[in-house]
Amino acid sequence: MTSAECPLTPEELEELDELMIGAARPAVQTHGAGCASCRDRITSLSESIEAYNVASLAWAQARSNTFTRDLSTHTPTRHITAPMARSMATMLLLGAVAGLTAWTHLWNSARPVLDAATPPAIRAFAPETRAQQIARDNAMLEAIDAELTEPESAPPALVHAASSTAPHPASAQDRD
Amino acid sequence: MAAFNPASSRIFPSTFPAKDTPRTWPAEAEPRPATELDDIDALVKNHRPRLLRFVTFSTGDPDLAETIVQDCLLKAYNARASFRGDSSVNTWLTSIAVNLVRDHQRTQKFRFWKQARASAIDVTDVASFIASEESGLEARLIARQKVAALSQIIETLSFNQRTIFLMKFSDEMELSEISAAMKMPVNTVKTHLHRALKAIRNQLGGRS
Repeated sequence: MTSAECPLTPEELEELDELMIGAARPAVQTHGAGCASCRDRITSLSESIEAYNVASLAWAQARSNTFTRDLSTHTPTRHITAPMARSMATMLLLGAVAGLTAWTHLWNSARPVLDAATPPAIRAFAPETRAQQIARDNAMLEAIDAELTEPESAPPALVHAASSTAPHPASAQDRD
Repeated sequence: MAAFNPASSRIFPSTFPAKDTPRTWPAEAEPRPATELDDIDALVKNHRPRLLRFVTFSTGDPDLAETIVQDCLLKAYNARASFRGDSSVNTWLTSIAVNLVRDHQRTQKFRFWKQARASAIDVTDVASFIASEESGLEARLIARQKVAALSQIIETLSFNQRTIFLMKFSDEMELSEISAAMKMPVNTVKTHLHRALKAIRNQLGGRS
């Protein structure tokens, strides 16, 4: 029986799938056994499915062969897949960058901008910059150096003591 | 504390007796005969590829499938004492796997990552695994085209249609076993199979 001779309607042809599913009525089974067109229809789809089964199983076998994870150390129900892990790492990185940016912005905005128009009273209380602090430290060191390199002179206390023990010119004159 | 009732477990549904069914397995009189479930290496070696294929094509995500299959094998090994031999080990494992997939599917997390997933099945890669002993280059090319086309069409089916199709035509499960694993009546299983076959036939016809 050729396809032109097959008396089944399209709806009845769908019943042929029951042959593949394994739940066909006896009448469908009889027709499927005798009709070449219907047999071809079933065989064609079955061949595609068979090829798919063979290839997909070989593919899965190849994937399994490269699998080395130890079952005993596996923790179940933690479905973190590779794309999830990649996305989480990206989100963490973005979060860190955003946090750093925000912190830098806040730090800069919290510091007053000192220029020539800034009143001296405000300048006095403004936090000094690193350059200012270095300049102040250098000035202090220079002052210490200068003090240390001055010629030695008698301490004022000693000068005062010496002047109190020496005879006063006026009193000497009195004695004379 | 309430005792653990395996019959109420969502993960191991198909091989446990119903709640009121008397247990047919002697609890302690006879030890359960050793099965391949007792050997974790054999379990992985014999069943991992088939389970991986099922879960990969059911979820459409090879990376997620790796995790679910791993969970499945571990759960099966840990619950091996509960396996009563009512079905084949293959069927039992597939039932566990399908429950894990469904559990995972329910979570919001799955829906989110499904949208943003970077891992998808490469149908050309799958098709390249067609048996090399296929007679002639032309026959191999035709077979590869068929496999690639069918893989793409299967991805377009609904979850139930796709999963039931794979259970029936790739894992060769009986309708009653699919019905138990999917927790749906046999007639509903048949309806899903009819729709899947119709969609596949229509789309394959449109491509050829």
